[in-house]
Amino acid sequence: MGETLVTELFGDSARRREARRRTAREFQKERTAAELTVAFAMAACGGVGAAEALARRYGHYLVPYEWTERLNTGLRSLLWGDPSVELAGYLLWTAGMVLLLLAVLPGHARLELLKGDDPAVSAALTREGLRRALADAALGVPVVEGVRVRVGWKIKVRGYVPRGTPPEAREPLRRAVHARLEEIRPQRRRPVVVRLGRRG
Amino acid sequence: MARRGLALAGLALCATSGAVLAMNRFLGGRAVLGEGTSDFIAGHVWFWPVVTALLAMTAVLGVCWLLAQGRAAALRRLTLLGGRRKALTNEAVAALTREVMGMPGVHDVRVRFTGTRSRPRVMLQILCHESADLGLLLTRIGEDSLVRFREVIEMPDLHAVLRFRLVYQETRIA
Repeated sequence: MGETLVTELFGDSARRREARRRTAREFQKERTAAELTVAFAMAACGGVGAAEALARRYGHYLVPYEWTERLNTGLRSLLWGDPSVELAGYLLWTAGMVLLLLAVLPGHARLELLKGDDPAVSAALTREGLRRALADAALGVPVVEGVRVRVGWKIKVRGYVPRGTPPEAREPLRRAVHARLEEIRPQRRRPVVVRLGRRG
Repeated sequence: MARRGLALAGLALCATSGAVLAMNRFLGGRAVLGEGTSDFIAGHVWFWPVVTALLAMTAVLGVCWLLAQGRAAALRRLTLLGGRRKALTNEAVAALTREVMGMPGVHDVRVRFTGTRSRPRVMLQILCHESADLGLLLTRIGEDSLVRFREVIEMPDLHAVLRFRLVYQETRIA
């Protein structure tokens, strides 16, 4: 029986991992412009180059003869040590790094991905939505009259209470915010800072 | 896949830039297209066929990538179903919309079915009240509504994407 339980446990965590991965992929920001540019450049440069090489083999020209001749002469007179070659090298390096960063950086369009157990369902909430839901939970605490919530690296909640309210009033506010976070189940875990502000 | 393509293109550009900068540093006095290069090309008959093959391969990869992007965009935006199945799916989408609208805390919902029979996808944009229990909603939609939806349209591999937004109630926030 113990063996079955362990198998179930591992099966569940594998499903959760798969669900997490699929949700991240689903809400990953698309890099359409960059992909279109690179794919088009590859198709155009490769196509024209291959066609020109084939045409030359059979005694024809695809690209005007003067253009290729000008390029040929230019490359013959250009030295490797020329500053323009160095500039071209750095430009290529910059373009390569931009593409690498576009490929690696997640870029989740201001969405909070939600935890789930089913890989066939991906869910997300807007970051603004998370902020509002937490503000609503904080306002549900009787003594809290106003609230300010910030969602960044940390979740910062400042509840405004009447002057003279004891500092212990922070505890129900903290519990309400944590309970709402437990309901929403965002994938990203952030530290939660709850403070009280006095009014009146 | 697409991001892997971008990463490979980026790596290729960085490697080329490394080669160019190394030449710039160590072979500064030589011409980019010197006598040595011309002699090498003239002495090896395989040079131009290999260059042509590499260029053709690059062009084919580029065209395949463009086609793959077009296909992915179409699958995400269009319903590529025909006849009876399309009608069945439309009915099921209407029923799913009604069902989700009836759930507690839901203010509005938009359901969109896209893709083909072999790669189906359903997108739900759900507008909720601030106090809605999103965890409960997600569980009910995922474990009840979508299970029924998959059965009705006979697509067990359907992938569902849910986007929650909350109704704005300005007066309640300090």
